[in-house]
Amino acid sequence: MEIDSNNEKSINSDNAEAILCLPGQRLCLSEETTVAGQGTYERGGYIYATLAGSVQVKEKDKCKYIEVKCAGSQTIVPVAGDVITARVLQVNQRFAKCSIICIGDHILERTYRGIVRKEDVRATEKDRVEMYKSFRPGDVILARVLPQTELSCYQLSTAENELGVVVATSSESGANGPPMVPVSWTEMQCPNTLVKEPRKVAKIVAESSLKTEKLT
Amino acid sequence: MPPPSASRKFMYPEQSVPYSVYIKQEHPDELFAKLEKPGKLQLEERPTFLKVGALATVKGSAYMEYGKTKVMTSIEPPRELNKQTKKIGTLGLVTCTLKYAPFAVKDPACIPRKETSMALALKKALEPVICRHEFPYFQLEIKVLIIDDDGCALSTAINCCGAALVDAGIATYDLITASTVCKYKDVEFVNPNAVIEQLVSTITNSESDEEHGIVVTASLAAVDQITECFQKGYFKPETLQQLTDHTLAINERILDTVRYVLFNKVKTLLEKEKEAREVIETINAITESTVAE
Repeated sequence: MEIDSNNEKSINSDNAEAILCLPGQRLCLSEETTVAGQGTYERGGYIYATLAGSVQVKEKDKCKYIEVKCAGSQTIVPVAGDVITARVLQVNQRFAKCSIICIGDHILERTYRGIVRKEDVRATEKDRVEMYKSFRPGDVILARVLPQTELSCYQLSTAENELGVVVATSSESGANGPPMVPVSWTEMQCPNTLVKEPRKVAKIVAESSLKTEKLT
Repeated sequence: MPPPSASRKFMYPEQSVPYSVYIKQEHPDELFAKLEKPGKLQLEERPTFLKVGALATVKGSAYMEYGKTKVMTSIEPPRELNKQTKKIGTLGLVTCTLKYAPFAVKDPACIPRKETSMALALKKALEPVICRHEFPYFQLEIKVLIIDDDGCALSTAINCCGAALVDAGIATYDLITASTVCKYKDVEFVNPNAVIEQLVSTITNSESDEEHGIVVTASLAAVDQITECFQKGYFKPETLQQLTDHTLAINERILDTVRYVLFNKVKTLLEKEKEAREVIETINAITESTVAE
């Protein structure tokens, strides 16, 4: 561990804020108020790093969360509770098939399969949901990952005001048409043809206010 | 236009045979007599070159030269498992494919056998170091290409994979390093080259009461664990222990190189990010000021 401490010192002199670490590097003691966050693990009373990047300490509820922010792009997969961006591929009466393209602000290298079931489209009037009036193929949606019960693909939910269709083009103007403008919770309008189409529209909010909602 | 399979396969005549096959084979003892024997046991690594992020088209990659042994590793983003896959668990699967370039070794006949056994050993060495619980129901594919083999191919592949995993941003418990030591006719060879490895593996049964063989050890320094101990040949327990200790000593030295390379990579990446942020900030400041006017 001698080398590590030497390296850290040299880095600290160059770059006052960032402490760099490599996987397996011991970061600090694990205590009641010091918790291992993302990119770290706890072993034998110490917190170690699992990623190469910069160490960040976040304080929340009187606890210090030790986190490692990966330098470059980290390899992650969707986990239950994540807000993801997906493109709708296929819609039928019971569910919509989508491909997951982003987790939060992280763009995935490979898309993953996901489906939105009819009962997960919205929180109210679940029995009156009509899939064709909620999504259309080609729409870009925001959704939350539900706990995985089936191995084959991710189950997604848009049953929140902030989740649903974000980008859509009207069926007349096709995929290259201009994106429609939301006019209500259930309708979007094409700026060229002024045609209104039904959608499960998402209320766009800042990412920070979205994340704290369910995960805590 | 190249055939569609060109990118996956090496295009070379399958029936080709290197000329060395027809050269008169020397007796192992004669070969051994010619060999340069190490006068003093030096627990040192070979001259090493390591480059992370060598390939731009994959998620993570590394290229390593360990003496004359050259290895390239690439890692792809996790893939979803098929419905049919029986091995369902909360831990992700790791699959290793190891390929030899046809020109890497003198005797291409042994390539398929080496590929399968080394891929297995590589998988065993890497599985404990990857945080597999972060990829449940996923499969992580690690591809290794041995471009040139002058001994220590397995240990170099493990070292290279360790660096590539960090480059890919895959969570690992530690940095992994490995090294090779072999013993033949009571002489210990550290980082044996291809000739010695060949000698040790071709030994006949009549002389098998003599200690001989190869030891490859992969270790994690910070958590003080051995992830893989690959042994071929016959050793007494004491000798095996001694050889393993020697490999661990070399591992520590290789770790310094790996650490240095990765550290520099992280440093440059963070500096780049910082610069990018500054550029964005200045652009924002300029646009704001013009809007105000």
